[in-house]
Order: sequence, then C-alpha cells, then structure tokens
Amino acid sequence: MSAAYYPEPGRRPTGNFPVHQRIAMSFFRPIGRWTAAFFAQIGSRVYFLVDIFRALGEVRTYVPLTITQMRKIGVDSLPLAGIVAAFIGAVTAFQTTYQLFPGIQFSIVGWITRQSIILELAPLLTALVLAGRVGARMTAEIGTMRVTEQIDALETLAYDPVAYLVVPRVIAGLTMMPLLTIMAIAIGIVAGGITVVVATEVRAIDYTTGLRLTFIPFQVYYALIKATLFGMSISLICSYEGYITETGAEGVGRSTARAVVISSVVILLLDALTALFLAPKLAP
Amino acid sequence: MKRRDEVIVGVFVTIALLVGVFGTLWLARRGLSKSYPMYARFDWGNNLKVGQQVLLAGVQIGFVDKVELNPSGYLDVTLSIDKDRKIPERATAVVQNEGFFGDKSVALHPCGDAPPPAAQVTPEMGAARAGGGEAHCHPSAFLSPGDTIPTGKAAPSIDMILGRVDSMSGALEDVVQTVRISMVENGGIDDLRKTIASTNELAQELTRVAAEQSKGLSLTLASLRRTANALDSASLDSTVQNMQVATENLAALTSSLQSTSARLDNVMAKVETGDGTMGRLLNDPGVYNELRKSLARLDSLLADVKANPKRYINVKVF
Repeated sequence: MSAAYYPEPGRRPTGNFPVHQRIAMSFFRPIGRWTAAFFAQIGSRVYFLVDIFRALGEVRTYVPLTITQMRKIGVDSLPLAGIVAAFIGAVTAFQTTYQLFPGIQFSIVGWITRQSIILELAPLLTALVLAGRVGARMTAEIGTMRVTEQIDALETLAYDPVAYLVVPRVIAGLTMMPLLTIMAIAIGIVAGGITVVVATEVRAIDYTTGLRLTFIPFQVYYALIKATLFGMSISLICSYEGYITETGAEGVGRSTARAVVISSVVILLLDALTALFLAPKLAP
Repeated sequence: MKRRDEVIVGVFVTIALLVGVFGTLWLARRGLSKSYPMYARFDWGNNLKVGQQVLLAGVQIGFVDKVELNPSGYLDVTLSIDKDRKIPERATAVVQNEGFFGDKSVALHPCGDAPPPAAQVTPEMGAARAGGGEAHCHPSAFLSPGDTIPTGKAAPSIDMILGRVDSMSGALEDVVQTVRISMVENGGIDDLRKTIASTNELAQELTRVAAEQSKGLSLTLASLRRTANALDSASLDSTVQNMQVATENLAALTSSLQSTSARLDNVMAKVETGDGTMGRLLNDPGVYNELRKSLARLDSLLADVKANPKRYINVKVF
C-alpha cells in the first residue's frame, strides 16, 4: 500500500487485518461500493423528484417561464418532428406498396401505414429526435448554470432553482410531447397518403379505407400515453443530468452525452413496457 | 417577446388539439357525417372487425361499428350506415370476402336471395327490365334505423375452398405414397433404371450394326456401280431384244393354250349334258346297274366254277 493511503478516521486500517480477511475485504468492498452507488443514484433522483413536487407550489415562479419553455421545446421542435414524420410516413407507405403481391387489396397500405405511425413510429421517433434536440439543450443549459454557479446564485437570492429551471421544462416537455406527436401522426399519415397516391397505383379511396379499417380511438390514446411518458422521461432525465453536472465544460459535455443516452434507452424501455401492458387493449 | 411566446404556444396547442380530436373522429367515424345504427347477426368465425366496409349492392354505405360475441353461437354486429342511405326492406346481409387474404366486408343484397315477386312488377319496372335488364327489383319500403337486417346465404368462403384443397392434397399424398412404395421400396425405379440401361445398350448395339451394315452397303453399291459400268450397252440391247422375242412366243403359246382349253371346255360340256358315248357312260345310271348285275352274276358263276369245276371244265387227256 502506498504512502498516500489514509484510512478513514475511526476505521481500522486494512493492513492491520490478517491476510485471509484482507483478501475477502478486497473482494467484497467493491461490491458494497457499487451497490451503495447504485442506490445512491436512485435516491438522488428521488430527492430531485421530491424537490420538483415541492417546487410545484411556487406557481408564480414557474408559470411564466413554462410558456417560454413550451415555445422552445414544443413549437420550435415542430419543423424537425414534422420533417421526420413526413419522411417516415412517406417511406412506410411507399415500402408497403412495394411489398404487396397480386391479390392483396391496396387498402392494406393505408392500414399498415396508420398502424405503424400511430402505434409506434410517430411517438417513438418524435421522442428520440427530441431527446437529441430538446434534451441535450436542456442538460447543457442547466449544466452550464450549475458549473458557472448560477444555480448557487439563485439559491442565494432565495429563488428555488428547481422551480425556476426544472419545473417549467418538465411541464413543457410533458405537455408538448403529446401535441407534437399528434402533429407528427397527422403529418406522417398525410405524407404517406400523398406519396402513394402520387407515386403508385394506390388510389386515395383505398388509402382512406385502409386508414379507417379496424380503427379504434384507443390507438390514438395509446400513442398519447406513450408520448406523455416519453416527454416526461426526456425532461426529467435531462434536467436532472444538467442539475448534477460537475467540473467545468468537460462535465457539461459528459452530462449532455449521458442525458441523451439515458433518455434514449429509457424511451425504448418505456416503449416496450407500454406495448407489453397496453397492446392487448389495442385489438378492436 | 413573452407575449409573442404566449401567442405562438397558444396557436400551436390549439392546432394540435384540433388535429388530434378531428383526426381521431375522421378515422373513427368517416368524418363527421351523420349515421344511424343497424344490426345484423352472423355465425361465429366470420372474421369481422370494426371498420370493415358495409356495401349495399357493392357501394359502400357504412362500416362495421361494433362486433359483440354472443355466447349462443352468434356475432351481434352493429353497422353504422350513412344517414342519407336507406336499406330496402327485403335486403339480406352476408359476410363476403374482400381479396384473398381473409379480409371481409358486410354485403347487403337489396332484394335478398329470392327474385322479386310478380305482384311487385310495376309497368315502369317492366320497361326498365325490357330496356336494361339490370333492374332487378324496385324497393318500395325501407328498413327503419335500428332494425336488424336478416342474414342471407353466404357465398363459399376461402376457408371452405382451402378445406377442399386440403382433402385434395390428402388424396394426392396417398397417390404419392403409393407411387413411392411401388417405385422406391419395391424396386420399381431400379427395374426402370435397368431397363433403360439395357435399352441404351441395345441402341448402341443397333447403332454399331447399322454402321457396319452401312459400310457393307456402300461397298455393295460401289461394286454394283462397277458392274453396271462394266456391262456393255450393246449386249444389253440384244438381251432385251431376245427377251422381247421370248415374250412374243410366250404370248402365242398362251393364245393357243387358250383355244385348247376352250375346246376342252366344249368336250366337257358335252360330257355333262350326257350326249355321246362318254356322256351316256357317265350320266346314265342304267349302265351302272347293268354292269352291277353282270358283275354279280359273274361272281356267282365264278363261285360255282370254284365249287364244281368239273361241271364246266372237263379235261380229258385220254
């Protein structure tokens, strides 16, 4: 053991133990530390959630800022979400048309496009794209405020930094994602319809017949439930990662990357879980 | 800036909500057009789904709104019909196939399965029938909203056809099995193969023989050609002349033979008719009888001579 090793005060130095005990300690101590770190992560997030719920009381602080965040998160993301949805819808419809073989009626194109876009592609891809566009921005903003000690300054001025920075973003993400998803669904379905009607022999009446085939409103609710969950996870994860940023510009970069990765994975997990629990209710 | 944000966010939220609400309604309810419910009852297993088309005489007039499983063996189906469409009184509902792959629609036949009764044939309808021939019936009464449309006779479904194909494939399998047993397990294929092999050998043999034969034939032909060349045309000519002479002699002989045979014919005819000595001899039974009697007498005379030779022969030497 090097000279730089100082045992914690009140703890018996490891070197004082017999060899067989030292081997066991060197085996179990990392496990204990990892476990503790894992639960510390969860606990830290729970504290963050508690802070958010407490900050929800300070309506005067966050409501004006929420409108701004809604614009930044929601309205400003519409072009990106729209472009993604339009291309996804067009390609889905077009590809489906080319998979048909003689004997299948063309309305299946509309049906497959609608099911794919409403149930999966529009919510998931909008969320993934927004995890990059909105989530990274959120983490970088809050993280920079953290490393430049602006958050500490807010606390000093008796502002609740969570109510000031986090709650507007969470509310905006929670409300804007479903609306963006609705727009994405509409744009995707319309773009798919225009593509197949213009470029292939599928007629508009085939497409709309397929769109209505086996449709139940719960399919839209399902998409909105997913979008709400995705928006919530994006804004919570990204603002948390920004909020705990440490050590300068490098820390901001690391937090941003982590935030995007974690929120993307969580979005995919939530997607799978919602499919697992809610998909059986989708059958008409 | 803040005011502007509020306006933009408000506009976006409003548009998105409107798109969501009206889009869902458009998908679920054929737009906001009014409709009324009708009911039908089908057997289980018709593969009906919400949103499938309802066709009246082939024209879409609504869609399947609800499919409920009735435990007593039926599907209670709610049909949503466009408000401006009416269903004729004698219409029947049938689940029919759309395409090959199990998609269905509910088809309403305006006149049911039976032809329209004669009492309902009106003059103008008769005219229409005479003109176009397609006007089947002229519904005078319509079902009112909420009625149950009676179920008609269904066309054979893909399932039934597939079942038939299935049994056919079973029979085919039997045939294949039999062929397999006789051909593979009982050595039919081996026999066939042997036969083919020996046929092949035979053909080769034949080819070989034919080749030899043709070689010999060509040799023969060559020698024949040589002989023909060696033959003198003059001697050939004289031979031909001799043959002509011989032929003429033969012809003369034949004619004299003919005359001889004609004469012989004449003689034979005379003999047959019984003229002359020969004819009498041959044709008169009296001669035969006389001859017979004479023979009998000669016989008895000879027997007598044998028995008493001394009576007739008296040899005296001294």
